[in-house]
Amino acid sequence: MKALLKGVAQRLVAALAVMFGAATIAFIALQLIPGDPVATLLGPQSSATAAVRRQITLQYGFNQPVAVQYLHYLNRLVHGDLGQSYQLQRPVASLISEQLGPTAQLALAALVLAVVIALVSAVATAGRRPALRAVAVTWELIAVSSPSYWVGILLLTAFSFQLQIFPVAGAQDFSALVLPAFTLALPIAGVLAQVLREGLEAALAEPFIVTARARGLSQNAVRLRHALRHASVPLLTLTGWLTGSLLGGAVLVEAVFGRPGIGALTLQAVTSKDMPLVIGLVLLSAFVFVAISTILDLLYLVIDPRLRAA
Amino acid sequence: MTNITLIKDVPTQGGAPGRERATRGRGRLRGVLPPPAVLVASVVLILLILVAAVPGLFTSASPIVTNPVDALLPPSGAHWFGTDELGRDLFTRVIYGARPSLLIGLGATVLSIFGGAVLGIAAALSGRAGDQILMRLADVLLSLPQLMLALLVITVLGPGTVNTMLAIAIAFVPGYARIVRAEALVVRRSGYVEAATGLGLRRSVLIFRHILPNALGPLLVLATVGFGTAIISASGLSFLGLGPQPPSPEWGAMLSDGRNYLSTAWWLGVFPGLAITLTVIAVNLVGRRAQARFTRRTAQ
Amino acid sequence: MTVPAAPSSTADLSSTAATSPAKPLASSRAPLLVVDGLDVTFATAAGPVRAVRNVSFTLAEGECLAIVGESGSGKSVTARTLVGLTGGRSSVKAGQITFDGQDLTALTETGWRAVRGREIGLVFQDALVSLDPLRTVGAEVGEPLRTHRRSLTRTEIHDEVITLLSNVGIPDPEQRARQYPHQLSGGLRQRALIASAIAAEPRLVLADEPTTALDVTVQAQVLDLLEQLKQGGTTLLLISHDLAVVARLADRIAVMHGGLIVEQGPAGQLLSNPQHPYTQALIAAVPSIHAKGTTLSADTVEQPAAGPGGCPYAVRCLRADQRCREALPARAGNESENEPAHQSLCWHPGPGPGGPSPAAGSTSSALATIKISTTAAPLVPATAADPLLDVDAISKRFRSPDGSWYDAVQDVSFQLRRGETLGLVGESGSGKTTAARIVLGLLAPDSGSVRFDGGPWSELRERDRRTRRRRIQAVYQDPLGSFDPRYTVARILGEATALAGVRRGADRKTRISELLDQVDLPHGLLGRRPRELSGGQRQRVAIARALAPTPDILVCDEPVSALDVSIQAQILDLLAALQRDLQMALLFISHDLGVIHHVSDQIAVMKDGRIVESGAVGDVFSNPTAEYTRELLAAVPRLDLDEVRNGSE
Repeated sequence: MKALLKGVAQRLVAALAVMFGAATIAFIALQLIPGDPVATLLGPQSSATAAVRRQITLQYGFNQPVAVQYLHYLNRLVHGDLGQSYQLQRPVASLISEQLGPTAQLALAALVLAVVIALVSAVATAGRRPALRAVAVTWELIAVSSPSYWVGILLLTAFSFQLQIFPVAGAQDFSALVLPAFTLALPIAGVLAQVLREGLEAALAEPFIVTARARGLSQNAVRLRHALRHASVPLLTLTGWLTGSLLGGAVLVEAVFGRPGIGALTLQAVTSKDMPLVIGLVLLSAFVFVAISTILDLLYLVIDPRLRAA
Repeated sequence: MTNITLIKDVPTQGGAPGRERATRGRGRLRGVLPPPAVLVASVVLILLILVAAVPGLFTSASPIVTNPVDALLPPSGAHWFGTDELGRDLFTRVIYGARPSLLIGLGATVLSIFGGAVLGIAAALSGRAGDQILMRLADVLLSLPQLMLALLVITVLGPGTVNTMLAIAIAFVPGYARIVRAEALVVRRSGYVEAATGLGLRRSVLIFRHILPNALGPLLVLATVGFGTAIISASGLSFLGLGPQPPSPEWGAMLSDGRNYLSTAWWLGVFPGLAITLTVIAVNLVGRRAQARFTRRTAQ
Repeated sequence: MTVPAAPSSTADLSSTAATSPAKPLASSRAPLLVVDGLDVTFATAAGPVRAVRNVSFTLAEGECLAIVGESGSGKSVTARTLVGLTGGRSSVKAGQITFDGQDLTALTETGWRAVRGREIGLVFQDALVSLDPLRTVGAEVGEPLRTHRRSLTRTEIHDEVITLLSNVGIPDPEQRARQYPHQLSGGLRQRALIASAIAAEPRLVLADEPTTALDVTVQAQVLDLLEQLKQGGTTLLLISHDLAVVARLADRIAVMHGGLIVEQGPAGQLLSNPQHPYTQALIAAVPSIHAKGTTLSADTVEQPAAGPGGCPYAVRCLRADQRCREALPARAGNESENEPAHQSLCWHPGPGPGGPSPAAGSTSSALATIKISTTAAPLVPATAADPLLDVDAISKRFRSPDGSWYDAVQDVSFQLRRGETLGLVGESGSGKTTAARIVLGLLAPDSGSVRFDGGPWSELRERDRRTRRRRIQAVYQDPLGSFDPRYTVARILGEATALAGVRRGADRKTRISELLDQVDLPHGLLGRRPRELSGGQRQRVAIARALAPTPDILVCDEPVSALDVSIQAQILDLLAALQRDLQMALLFISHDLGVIHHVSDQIAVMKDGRIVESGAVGDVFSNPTAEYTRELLAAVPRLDLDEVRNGSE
């Protein structure tokens, strides 16, 4: 138990360190933008007077030394203040929280879908007839090689425009979630299925499987009771990538399907060079990533007893 | 964006004393389709390189000259892939679109290999302090989704071909650095490095002759698959309007333009994407084959 | 006691027994298992491989049959056939496989599931990988109960598991049942594995190398457990490469080579009067029997290989002739009248040149029990007064992952003289490898020093030491791990000769050639990678590499542990010959007392980082003073034939 607590504490500290690092990098990026921040803020056509410019400079603190700005920045972050969007003139925090809902919905649906598809595919095909395996390898390859936005477009074309089954845009209800969720899930399912299948195949080749079968267990029992646990272990190393894929993929999928959400917000922020908003979104991603990774790291500790410091 | 850089299990060097086992284990199971597929993939890749290098060989039309009269024509004998909203032949645009996609992918891959190798080796060979600092840095960068990181870089630098290349490279570097570092650490502690020291080899020679090649090998092989991911990322950024700017043709951008006309012109949404997918499938097949052969060559 | 009728197959084991007036056989009880004409073929990428050819044996209830052979002999496959787990790429054919009257050849998967665990249990080597590392010991031991005795409740199963664990001699079973396999020591783990195999009370237990991965003292305890099982009425089929281990438990022994049973018979008779040349070579190769200075391996002249129907041993056998290469005798071969049921598959059975005398029923003197032979004089007289290597009170401690300090080596001192062999013996964790690395200058001692040829060694800076490294070289335990995986043999030896100062070009080529000849390796192997070589060949390349600078001292860290007995014999002979010819001093590290006894002039026994005893090898072995040394010697399984014969009557 003590070892477990120590492991937990270590991971929490690491998580905080990473957040801190992310915030710092975001700040550095902010400083690196070429050009005058005031001009960026006002836009190209502005003809503001020097007095107005000075006022803005004071208001945003652009005249202070970088170190001081950094400290102010950190201070604000800790209080949950992500600054004000340059373009939209609203607190970044509220902008983000408004858009979080639809994206979270999409990501969750996609995650569940991906995991289910991957599990079914892997358990059904690992270590069985070579023909089945070839089928699995093929679909995994295609899923992984197709750009997600293209898959979205194809689905849109087929189901929305031609067959008119699903709505073309918007995010009102469940039926509007189906195509986007599937689009987001597909490439992820492909990777998960491959890792899970290869993990199962590797586990099934281990000596303890023979021992288990020598006790009288059936092929299926051996898979579910022994091999699956082992195969899930490499999956857990993928969770970071998984979160990243979901968030990043959301940007593309929301663009294709015209759904509102964090992705759409990010795109808008990037194209209009709205730095506070971009930074806020970057920090959000980092936070989500770190939170999920840490939770899953802890799960890892529970599943694989060999990891607890002896 | 899918990044398939999975850290592979390194075969353990040296094990507990035991008898040599004569029973053959199951053949090494990899997700590689039988060689005929790889052969086809290699041919496709060679073709693609040709297309990218000499597009004029494959089509005589112009990819940028507009022809509003012929807008949105479906595929036919005259226009194999149909025409786009400005009347340009889609087939021609797809042909000319190969170069930017492949170039950005290649450039990003080369840059990220270099960056990853340098950082990874530096981390592995410097003391605990240097290692910790570099790896924390990598952790932080890795905490951002690759697309987000690329977007951040583009926000700072602005859109365009070169910037896209840089953005993708920066997004890949921390992952590659970790892999190189892990390999280098294993190699450093391996039996043959110890044996070489015992033979009297100088440390600098040891690093260049034994540690570097063995540590970098896995990365180079992994990067072949990473090349495919880079292509997808590049076209993804173009899709969002952040890559090569119009009117130069690029597959992702074409899909983005075509999205607006999907209700009437399905071909705009199919062919550019098909090109990307086929390219990446080919790259993946060849890359995985290389991976399988490399693992078989160096494992016990 | 009546002798039952023989099974109607062509096995003719009992036919002579029924008529001979000899003493009743151990197998006079009803046969529990009858295997006749077993053939197992694997489909591989390189074509079909016959792993088991025409194997026949019977096993009576309560008896222990041992199948002995080296890797590739087909012994493990035979065991797997008996539980139907040879795998999807195998094809199993047999005239008969009958277990307790039930025909095993006709079983479907469902039928097998009823047999496995409940009628026939299987114990593998190395419980660390044979038990599921992600499940508790209790869960693993209880699994056969859950599978076969569905009516039991969870509490009942738990109680059974605890009883089982304590029956196999695991102290504090309640706590151990909650732990994971990696938290138990090697011996306890193996016992737990055995417990899981017998949980559903099978009548036959197959044990495939059950003690190979264990330290000698622990091995003895596990063998005790197996003996206990046997006395309780369980029938045992023991599979091993180690004749000594097997001699203790087996009533009958079958020797396998190349998929065939080449000789089969009661343990005492087979060991004292082996008929088949392979069996004789196997017995002769066991180092513990011989003192230093004797050759272990028979002269292996490369012969033309046998045809598909011929004897697999013909390629190495001195008695092989054309007939051997073409066909094997039918199984009714060679039974002497007085020794029923002892048969060998050979055209030229009987004692070979240099083999034991065939005096029936008596123990041959050459194989007399090794109550340790007298000290053999060192082949190279100890010369100079100054020791070549002087290790003085070295200590080294390491930090373990949880922060505590661990003393790997404490206050260790020994000396090595020119041309002499010092054997460093100890079990795993005794610190011998750490000591070796300190001697090689790969690790700096925390205190104490190592002096080499009168000058400083461990205190030198690496820069200064590097040039002197030529004079101390090493052969490591895992040859494959000590080679750069990308290098060919040519490049490996090239690098070594370059460092030895040989100039590029013709000089180097000559030197490499010389080295290959010294270790008896064909030149054709130069283009190969180590991964493509056999274990014995790899070790020869490692030795060749170490010899490149003609060192004064050769440090050998478990150089033969991973090799089959007959290959081991060849390597040990090679090292002995090289020492003689090159006047090298050898620091030989091993856990195998038999090997140490054979190679060393002086020995030092290590335990927990300290040297508990040292001295001339004969003295220490015949009159051990330290408690631990006595324990070690007592635990070593001996090929004590008097004991075996008495036990089997």
